Amino acid sequence: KDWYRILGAEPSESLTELKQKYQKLVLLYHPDKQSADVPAGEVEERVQRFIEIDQAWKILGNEETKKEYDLQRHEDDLMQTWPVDAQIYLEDMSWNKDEQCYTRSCRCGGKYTVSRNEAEEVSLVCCDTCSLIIEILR
Amino acid sequence: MEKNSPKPALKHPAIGIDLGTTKSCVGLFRDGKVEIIGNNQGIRTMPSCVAFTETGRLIGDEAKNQAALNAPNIIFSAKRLIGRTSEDPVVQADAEFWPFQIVKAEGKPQLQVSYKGKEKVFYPEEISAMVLGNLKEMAEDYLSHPITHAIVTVPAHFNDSQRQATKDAGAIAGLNVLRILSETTAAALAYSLDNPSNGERNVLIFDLGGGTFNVSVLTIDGGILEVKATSGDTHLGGDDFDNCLVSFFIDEFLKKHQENISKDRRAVWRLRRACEAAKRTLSSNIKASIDLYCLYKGIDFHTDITRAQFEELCADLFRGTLKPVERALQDAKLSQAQIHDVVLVGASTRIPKIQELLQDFFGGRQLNKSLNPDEAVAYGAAVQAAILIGERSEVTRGLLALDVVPMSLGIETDAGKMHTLIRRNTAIPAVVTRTFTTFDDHQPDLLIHAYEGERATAKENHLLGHFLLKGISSAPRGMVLVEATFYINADGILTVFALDKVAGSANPIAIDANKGRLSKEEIQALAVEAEKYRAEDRVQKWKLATKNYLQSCAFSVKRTSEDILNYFTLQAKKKVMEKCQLAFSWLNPTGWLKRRRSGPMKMVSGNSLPGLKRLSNSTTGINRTKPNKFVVTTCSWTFQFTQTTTVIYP
Repeated sequence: KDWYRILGAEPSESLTELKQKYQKLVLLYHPDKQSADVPAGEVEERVQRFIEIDQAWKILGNEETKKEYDLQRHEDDLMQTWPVDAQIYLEDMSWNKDEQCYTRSCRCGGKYTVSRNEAEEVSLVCCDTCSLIIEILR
Repeated sequence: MEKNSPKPALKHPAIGIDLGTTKSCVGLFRDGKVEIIGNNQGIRTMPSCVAFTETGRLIGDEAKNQAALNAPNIIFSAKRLIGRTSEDPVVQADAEFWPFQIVKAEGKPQLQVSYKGKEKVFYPEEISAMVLGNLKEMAEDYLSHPITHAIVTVPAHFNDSQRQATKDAGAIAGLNVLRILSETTAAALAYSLDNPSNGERNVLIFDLGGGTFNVSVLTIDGGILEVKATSGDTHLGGDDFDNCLVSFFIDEFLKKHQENISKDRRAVWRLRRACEAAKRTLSSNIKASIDLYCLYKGIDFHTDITRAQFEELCADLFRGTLKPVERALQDAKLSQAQIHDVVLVGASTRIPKIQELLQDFFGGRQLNKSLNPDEAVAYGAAVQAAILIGERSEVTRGLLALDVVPMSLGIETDAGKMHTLIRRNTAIPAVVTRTFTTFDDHQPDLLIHAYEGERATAKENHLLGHFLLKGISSAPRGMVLVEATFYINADGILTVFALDKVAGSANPIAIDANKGRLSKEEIQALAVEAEKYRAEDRVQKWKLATKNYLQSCAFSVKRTSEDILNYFTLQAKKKVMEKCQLAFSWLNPTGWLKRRRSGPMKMVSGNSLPGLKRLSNSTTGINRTKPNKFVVTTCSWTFQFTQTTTVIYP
């Protein structure tokens, strides 16, 4: 889980800034601070949110665990870095009406294909013949 | 961001109740500050005592005062029984010191008393409910409107079943318990309201009360109180120091007079009260004396005890308070030097030796005694009530207490090991999800044993309860995945939800939670019964008030007829006097039988005395043919208006 995002913070922020964000969120989501007119389903959701916020702070609020988490995060970042050949906007790809997908030709002669459904979520697309990858920007 | 509008306040404020082992206290947050509510004599703490007599039920000071006459029928320290099983060694050990009788009912302890000439048994929850009910009434009298919501505090170290039982007690008393709050957290709320600061402060709350001992380490920053660690002993307090003194004096009596008084409940109770007073004296004086006349077989008991002797007797108990302090600091990963303030709460922190030990432990640092040791917890509970109902006050808006689980919670795995799900000092509410599977083909249900405690072997921990997951879809072993969610709510009470992961929500799993507590129906039945007792109390009170009214009426008629001679003839005056005399003899405490025979008292009849008509007219009494009906007709003599009240009681 991305604890920084849960606290609505950036990894670069200092401990005091993180703490302020945490305190603000806790005052919003703790069950004690819920008004009586919140619907039942939302109460559960808010409790869940509070638990997440608390977990995030338990990790980021402590120098040691924060360091550990930052390292882990960095490692994940490095692991996930793909050999991206180019960053391309979806609009720049050509629309294939018959197959309902966006395509773009690779420099090896192959093709990058992304269907309409996939285009919503997928950001990295492989060439169908070589090992090159393009990243789709929106 | 979602909306953060101030909540609509409840129609009536919620009260904060400190339900103590020996004493209870009630507070109310109003107009930006807390008021501690006193009883009609202005006493702000009430003994958690209930006494049962031939005529009715007494609660609080009244109960405690008549205890020497009625020792087996007075119940105190119900908090030491609440939420425990009758097999609990603590219950067994305590029972020896108590004058009242404990009986077993399906593994739960019950208290046996004689009430109105009949043997009756009560659950500890009911006794606590009576105390809560009385506090509620006190607050209602003070505010003159009904109160339905309350915060009740419990020791931080109370376990799941003790918390649940306390909540049940509230329900029996007709209170909707908004929150079960830890006493130390409540005290910390009181502290943070009195000592507002902007920087981050680490505070240790040392709460030693009448029956329980708690330590919490908190970090206070702005208005947010974060409990870092909590520790304590649910069975250490003033009561235990009294017990030490009582055993000491029983021995002394044995040596001096060769008589063992320990079997005479009444004598022991009288001795205990004297010991309690001596203990208090020793907090300010260095010597206290005990004088009891005719303590046992007509023998008087006069003796002295010095502070040094007392400290020696309780030395182990006193030193024992430091261990939880150490553990809490360890859990919070803080050293003594990192604690900014050590706050004392609870009546037993007045004992000089305890203060000395604690001060030495913190390197001679000055302890913070700014909070009222008896009222701080109720004060904090009232603040929490204000936070919860969304009081529109600047003071409480930014205030929030984040509490923790006092003990690790886990389940028994194969080989009897304890598998911890929620570690102690995790913030609440907390949630953990685990997936279970079946051992046998087509297993229909799954039994989960939940425990709490720190030991590695499940059996050595406290069994919280069994959760039976029923209605699992039929499949070969290991093919079913049941996802169980353990949820600890903000009260620190555990609930379990389960979901069949293969079948999905199409196959709901029913959970039979057997936590050894009262069921909903039982609580409801007890609540009805409690209401009955309250009605009886009201009738009793009302009877007394009516009797009193008749008495004062008769006196005033008598005085008036003596003073204003001009209005009557001598004969009329004689008649009035006769009537008054009749009223007095009717009211005579020994005249009950006569009253029964003579029927309702018609004190002064207006028709037979035309001259008096303008002055006074009063009838009161018990209707003989319909003993259930109690009719009073009164008329104030300066104004000619008649008021009729009819009360029908069961």
